[in-house]
Amino acid sequence: MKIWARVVYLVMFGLVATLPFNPLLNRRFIVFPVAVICVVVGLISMYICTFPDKPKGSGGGGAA
Amino acid sequence: MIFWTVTILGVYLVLILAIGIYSGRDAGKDTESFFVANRHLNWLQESMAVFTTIAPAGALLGTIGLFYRDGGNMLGYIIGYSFLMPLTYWYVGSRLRRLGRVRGYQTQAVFIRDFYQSSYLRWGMAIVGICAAIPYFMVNPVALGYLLHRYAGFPYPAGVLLFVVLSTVYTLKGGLRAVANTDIFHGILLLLFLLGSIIALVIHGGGVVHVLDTPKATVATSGPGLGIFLSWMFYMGFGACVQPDRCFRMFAVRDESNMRRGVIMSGAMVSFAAFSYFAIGLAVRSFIPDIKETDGTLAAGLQAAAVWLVPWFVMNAWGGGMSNFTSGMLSVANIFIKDLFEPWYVRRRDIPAGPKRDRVIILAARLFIVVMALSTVGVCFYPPPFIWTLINITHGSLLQFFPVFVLGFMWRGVTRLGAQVGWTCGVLCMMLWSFVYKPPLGPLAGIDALIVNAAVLIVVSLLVPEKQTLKDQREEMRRAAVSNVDAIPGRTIASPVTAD
Repeated sequence: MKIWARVVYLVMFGLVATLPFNPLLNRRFIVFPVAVICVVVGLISMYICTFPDKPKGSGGGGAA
Repeated sequence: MIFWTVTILGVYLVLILAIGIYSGRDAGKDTESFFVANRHLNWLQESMAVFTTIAPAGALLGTIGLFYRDGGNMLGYIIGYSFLMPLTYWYVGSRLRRLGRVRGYQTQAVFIRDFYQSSYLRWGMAIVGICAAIPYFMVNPVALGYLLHRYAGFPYPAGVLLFVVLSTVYTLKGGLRAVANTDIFHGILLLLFLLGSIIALVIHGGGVVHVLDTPKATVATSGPGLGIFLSWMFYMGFGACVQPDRCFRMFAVRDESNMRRGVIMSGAMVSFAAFSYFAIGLAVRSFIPDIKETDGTLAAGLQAAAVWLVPWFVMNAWGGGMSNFTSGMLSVANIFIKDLFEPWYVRRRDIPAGPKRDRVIILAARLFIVVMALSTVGVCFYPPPFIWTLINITHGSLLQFFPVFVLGFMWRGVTRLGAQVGWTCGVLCMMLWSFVYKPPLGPLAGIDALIVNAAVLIVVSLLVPEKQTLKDQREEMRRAAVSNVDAIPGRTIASPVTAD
């Protein structure tokens, strides 16, 4: 989950940071909504990224 | 309109004063309670404080004007605050918060001294932090005094005095807790105002499609426009985690969960505000295309489209200004007391930690705040002509600490000499590109200098070896910075005060 959140964050950031060089998205009616969507998705993915990694070997099971 | 402006602002100021004084009932016991609210801020206090400090009166006046003038090129500003600011703020802030819990840090300068074992960097951080914050927060009452004079016919000196006195009273009474709680009130009203302004201005501009139907809604692919896009992105993105008025709250957050929510919420709110500036700039351009004094963009748009929002504009500009002013004053007082006064006082008087020392330290902090308030009044009546140059220079110098923090935490190879030489080169380059030559890559010299700074830091760290004991100390702090300090029962906060 977290690795995917990092990938999504980087993709969203890459998309908006390269807007000037992207003739497909750098158009008058498209730039604004694209930037809004990227920011919303980027913030959600960043929120997921801020959670700590699970300690190794902690998946499932109890203290038995 | 004058009646409504005075009434709304009057009610607002009374409420702010009541919230501030009520919140700060127990804040004057010691510096922990006064400057870092007993390290007990929740996510709402943290995020609103960062949001309102980043969106001061200057944003409603100057920044919206920049969006009006530069349009989509200012998307870099939005990206910086939406993507890079939360990332860097979380990366640096969560580590400083944990170290602050364990070692008692309240300012970044003391952390820098311990991390790099460098008094040079510590003094650099303290002095530049004070020099950067003072002119920045002092310009708030100037703008708001003029604003009240223009829209309510209030005499300028009386407006300035009202602003300074009210802000100072609740800051003196309640410290960070009062400032943070009033920021919640400021923040909610500001978000509502921005939402109302977008709707009113976009409708008056002919709707979303008509407002976006302009070349200004795209980003320049080359030239100065591209420079603006890239410079703002990194300037805004990297600046927040080193500016004292924003980052001294890092030390005050209650726990990891509140820090996490606070960072994301502040990112979300600042992003919303930045998109609002963009939408407002484009909307006003669609029906008033030739504003020369762009600082008045929002006011001109509201007067044309929704004059009933003008009193709310004046009130929110005051709210943003008060938030920025009070947090600036508090952060400078924090640096002055913790980095300069307390070490000197402890060394001179040799008084052990306790209520007596706390009383003197808090008294000194309050006196310092009063002196700054009086100085602000002086600046408002006799504004020095170089004040904006000073703000740019000092903020650029502060930005040069970014690699010192981020590379320090990220990279084990960083050395004390590398950090010292890198920061010095960054500051010198910034001076050179501010006063002698034009910056080669964009309009903001601080960003160009930052690239040189980071490169020098890396090269010097790689080339010049360092004692292993220094590296081990730094590694120990890195480990402490990622440990779960909130789970340590009965942890004690050691005083970082030394007499160096």
